[in-house]
Amino acid sequence: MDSDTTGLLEKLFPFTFTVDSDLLLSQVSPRLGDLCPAAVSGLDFMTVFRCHRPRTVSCYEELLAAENTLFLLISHDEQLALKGQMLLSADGKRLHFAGMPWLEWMNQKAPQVRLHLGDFPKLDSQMDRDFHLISQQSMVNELESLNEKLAKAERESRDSIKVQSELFAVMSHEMRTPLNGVISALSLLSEECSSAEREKITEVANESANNLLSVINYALDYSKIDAGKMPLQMLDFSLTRMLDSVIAVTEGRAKEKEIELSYFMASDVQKLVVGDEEKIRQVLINIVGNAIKFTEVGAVNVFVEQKENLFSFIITDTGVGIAKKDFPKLFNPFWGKTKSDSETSTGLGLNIVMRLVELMSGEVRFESEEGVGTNFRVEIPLEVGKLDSIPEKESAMDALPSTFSGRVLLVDDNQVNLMLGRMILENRGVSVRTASDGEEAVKTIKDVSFDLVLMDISMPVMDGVAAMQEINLLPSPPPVVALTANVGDDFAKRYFDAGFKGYLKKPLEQAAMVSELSFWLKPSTLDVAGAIVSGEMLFNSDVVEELIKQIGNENYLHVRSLFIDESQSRITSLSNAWLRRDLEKVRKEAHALSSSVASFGCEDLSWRLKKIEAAACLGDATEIVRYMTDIDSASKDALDIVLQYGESEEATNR
Amino acid sequence: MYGLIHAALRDLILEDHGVETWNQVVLQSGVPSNSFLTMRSYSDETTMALVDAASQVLMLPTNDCLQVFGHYWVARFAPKEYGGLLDHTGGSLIEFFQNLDALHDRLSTSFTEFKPPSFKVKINTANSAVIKYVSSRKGLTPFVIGIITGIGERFDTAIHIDAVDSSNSDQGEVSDILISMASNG
Ligand code: HEM
Repeated sequence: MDSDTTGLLEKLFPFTFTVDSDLLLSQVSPRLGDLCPAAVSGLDFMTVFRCHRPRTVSCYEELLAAENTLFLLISHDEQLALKGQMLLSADGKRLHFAGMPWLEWMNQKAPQVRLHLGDFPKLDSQMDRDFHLISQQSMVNELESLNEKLAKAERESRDSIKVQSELFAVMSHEMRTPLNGVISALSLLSEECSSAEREKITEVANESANNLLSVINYALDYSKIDAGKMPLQMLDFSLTRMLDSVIAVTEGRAKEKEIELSYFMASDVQKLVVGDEEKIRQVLINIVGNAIKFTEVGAVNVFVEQKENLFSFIITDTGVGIAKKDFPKLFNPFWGKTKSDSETSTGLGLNIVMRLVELMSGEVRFESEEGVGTNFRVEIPLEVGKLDSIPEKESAMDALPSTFSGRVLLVDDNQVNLMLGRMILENRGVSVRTASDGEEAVKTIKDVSFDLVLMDISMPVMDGVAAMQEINLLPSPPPVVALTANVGDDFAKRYFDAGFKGYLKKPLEQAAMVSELSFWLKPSTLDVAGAIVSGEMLFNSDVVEELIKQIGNENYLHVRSLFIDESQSRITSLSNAWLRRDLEKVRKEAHALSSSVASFGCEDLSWRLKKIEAAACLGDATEIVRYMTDIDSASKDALDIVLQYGESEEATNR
Repeated sequence: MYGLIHAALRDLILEDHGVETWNQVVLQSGVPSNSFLTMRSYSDETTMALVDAASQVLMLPTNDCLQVFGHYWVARFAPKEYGGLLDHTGGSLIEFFQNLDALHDRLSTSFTEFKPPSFKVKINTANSAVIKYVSSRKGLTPFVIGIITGIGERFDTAIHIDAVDSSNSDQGEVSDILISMASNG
């Protein structure tokens, strides 16, 4: 082989040398010299390399015989392995070796030797294969991690389906119990019922319906928190006022069970804070409500402490306590829910407590001993308020007129809703027309002018949104407010986009309805400013009848005259006490009077006196003024009725 | 580009900024979640959508983002699985630069839809050189700069970018990157 050829060969193969018939090396390529310093011209081939293939080479003739086979050579220092071929020179006297690193061997046995891309012929695929293997491996890794993710997602979706269906079962159960209450109560209502029985039945139905509503509210809260749709509303508020309202909501139940209920605030607790008052209130009502539920004797107390920005609410009870084995399950949404006795279940409530507290970056813990009681500790970080006092929140209803004048079109396909809506509206002095679907509504609006249209969204024939489109085309369309069970920002936006001026949530709530009416309608001139509507009867004759039945007419007449005298003097002393601002006396007089007037059927008067008593307890002067203002005339009216009732009834019945 | 590049961007953000940030990037980019298979080639728009979203979420200009990414690619990502290949690319900094084309040539046999860049090195003095980068894509010069500084670290050498002269056309982008090198050892 001439030197040109050797040069070409070297370009194709970075590792070349020549061996003559005496097995002596020459023309060692530079890269070979670098990586195998023993490969020096003039040295014996056999002292530098051993042949891995062909196996049995000990002389030049054997090398020659293997000319067309694969050579795998390993340097005696084990630092280099080559793969290549021997080629006979043109004169037949020498063999030329042309080769490249044996990559597999090098990777395994001499990984420390740095090979370069240039060490390999361009056409050699060892490197490519190496790279390919790496890529394959990374794809396998990828596949494994995807598999893992898939398995995890599968597990999670299975778990979540399980959770959902358990929730569904629990909710159904929780809803069925109060619904059964409503149904059975209503089925007892019949013509033959006395009015006292009717009242009792209505009360049961009402209570069950409220229970049902609270379960549904739980479900809605639960799904709202779950979907992250319960943003925090950070506002200034008064801790005292918030706690008062927690107590006000729960004390009825505590009184029934004769359990003490109160709260204590450490003297260094800042009363004005910034936080989500509604959520904290909801949490406390829930825990206090539970504490009362599980306590038969003793007390439920709420203690409030503050350490820097961390406020702790500690709710203690002297109730049945929680069994140790139930500790881990306490906040589980389904715990206790499968028992048929709904009294023992706290499930969703406590779960929501935990979620709400977490939402406020707080913590809720508890300790409990069976038969001794339970302590819940809710810790919530709150900012200390910047305001000196919180402006008195006027209750929405207080500021609003109670009756209106105007014409309202009520549109709903459900006859019961139409009837209820009509009753509520007419009670408010409004004149009402009704329509059962969108088409009828549009037709009516074309004929008669209305001050306000209240329209259901989903209706047959023409739904609310379609009707709204037609109404928009009229020359002077009346304001239309949507009635809908779908609430939430998305829906609200959709309704406003369609041209509705507002929306009211179904089932209709008085307060929201009144506030909407007050926006669109004029207050009625008949409206007595600040009139107090107690919702109680001025006089309940059943109570007096019952009393007469128990003590006889003669005794009744006697007691009645004592009662009238006594009441009149107590009213005077109540008014005097109030003039002196002697709250303790006000409270006592109001308390004594409220129960005696109730025994003579003066329910409205009794209700007012209870309000006065509660306000006196809380030292709430505004509230006392509110109910004291017309107490004289109210009591005169009530006592007159008691007197008159006796007179006329005597003549006819006895 | 190949999913390998997307996966590298993902790992960079996951390692340095956390999973929340990464989720935000994916959401912002609108790129489907199955765009990260190493050996699958995705449209360059997909790649750029990820880069743009990352720059918005991290509030870094796109060029800075690309540079950080380039550095991460060669200093932290490629060595994890392709360390051997990087080792083979060169025993010295200059040799490494000279072998970049050979490296991408090798890759082309496995990545059949590969549209690799090309690099030529012109050595000015012992510590100064011009690297000519030719790409069929536009706007990736900052990525190259990030990679170049990362390669410097492999060889314990601080690389300073003295000048960048870029021009682009329908065919893509050509940049002459003038570097000076100072060995840290
Ligand atoms: C083991 C090492 C490497 C691997 C596995 C690799 C792989 C890849 C892959 C898969 C692409 C996508 C191209 C396409 O899909 O069409 C790419 C692009 C690119 N690579 Fe590499 N590469 C490596 C090392 C390097 C190095 C050391 C540089 C040095 C400058 C570099 C510079 C680039 C550039 C600039 C691009 C963008 C494409 C363009 O400019 O058009 N790569 N590489």
